[in-house]
Amino acid sequence: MSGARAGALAMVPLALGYLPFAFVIGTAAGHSSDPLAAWAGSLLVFAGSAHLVVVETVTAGGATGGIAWSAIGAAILINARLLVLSAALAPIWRSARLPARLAAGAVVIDPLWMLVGARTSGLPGGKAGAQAPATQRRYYAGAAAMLALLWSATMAVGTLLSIHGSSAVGEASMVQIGVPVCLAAVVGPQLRSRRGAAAVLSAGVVAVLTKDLPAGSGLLLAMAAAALGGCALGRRSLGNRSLGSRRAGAPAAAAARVEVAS
Amino acid sequence: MTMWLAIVLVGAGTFVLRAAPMVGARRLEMSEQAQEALGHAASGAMAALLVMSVAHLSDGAAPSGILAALPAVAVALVLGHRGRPLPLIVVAGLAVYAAGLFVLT
Repeated sequence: MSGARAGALAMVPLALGYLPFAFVIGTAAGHSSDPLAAWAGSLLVFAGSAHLVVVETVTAGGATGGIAWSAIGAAILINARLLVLSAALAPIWRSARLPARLAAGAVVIDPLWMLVGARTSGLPGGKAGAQAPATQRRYYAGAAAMLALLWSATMAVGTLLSIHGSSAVGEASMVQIGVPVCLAAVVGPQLRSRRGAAAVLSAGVVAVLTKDLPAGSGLLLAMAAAALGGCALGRRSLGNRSLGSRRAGAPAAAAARVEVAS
Repeated sequence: MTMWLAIVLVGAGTFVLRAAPMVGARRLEMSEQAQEALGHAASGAMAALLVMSVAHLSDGAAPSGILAALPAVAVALVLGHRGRPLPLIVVAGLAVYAAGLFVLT
């Protein structure tokens, strides 16, 4: 089996792991000032972490324009990694027409990169060069369509339950606790490395210290602290290591980026 | 309107990032240091949101709510650290929270 159907079916088990996150973002959207707009980000943004940042920050900040700008800046910074993922997937679409390339670019996200990248590169389980570009593109399109469908539908369920069905899903607080639990699940893997732990701790401390600042500005400061904290520790560590161990650390850093990206 | 504006602008900015390599910016690359800094910044955003969401819970909830939330978050952090799958972590976190509420109220 190959083509779009194969891509769609292959995406299902991978997507299932991300759906609780979509549900939680949906519940956050349901509690927001504009649930329809917040849910629309499931397809317009199509990137969970950045989407959650926007929904939570705009909701916390109310209707002040300046707050929205800081949330927008933070979310786009979070999504900057997609430039790298898209560059890795671009060869599949190199000979396609412009509209097709634009459509392919619009759905670049970590699970798609993991699935299609493994299939088309030399990664374990990959089938490098085994299929024609057109077949690879159909596979890509099927996988992306399935992911978008499951992601958006799950978020819609979370939003609707949050708006209309709190009693149906028990205490409202049981739904609200899903946001910190999901975030903890995303943050947890970063604690495996010293640099990741330094980044997370720096951000956490700054978030506590800046909690009374206008919403969004504290988030940007925390992101800056995390980047400085993680990179500073990395430089100190690298000073005591050989060039060989520097190279060995690169895949770990890449893996950490992928895990945070959902 | 603010939410729509934010969602549309983030969507547009993200689309530019996604589409650039597809439409010809084939040599566009980031240095390893820049990629690492962005990765740490993204982790930091999640950590800051985690702190803010727990603080937000404490705003409206009874003391028992925040007391039940802390072990739930701690369990989720540990399971995430150990690489357990997200659905399992969510179920475990909710179970700990529910158990905490039951004990404390």
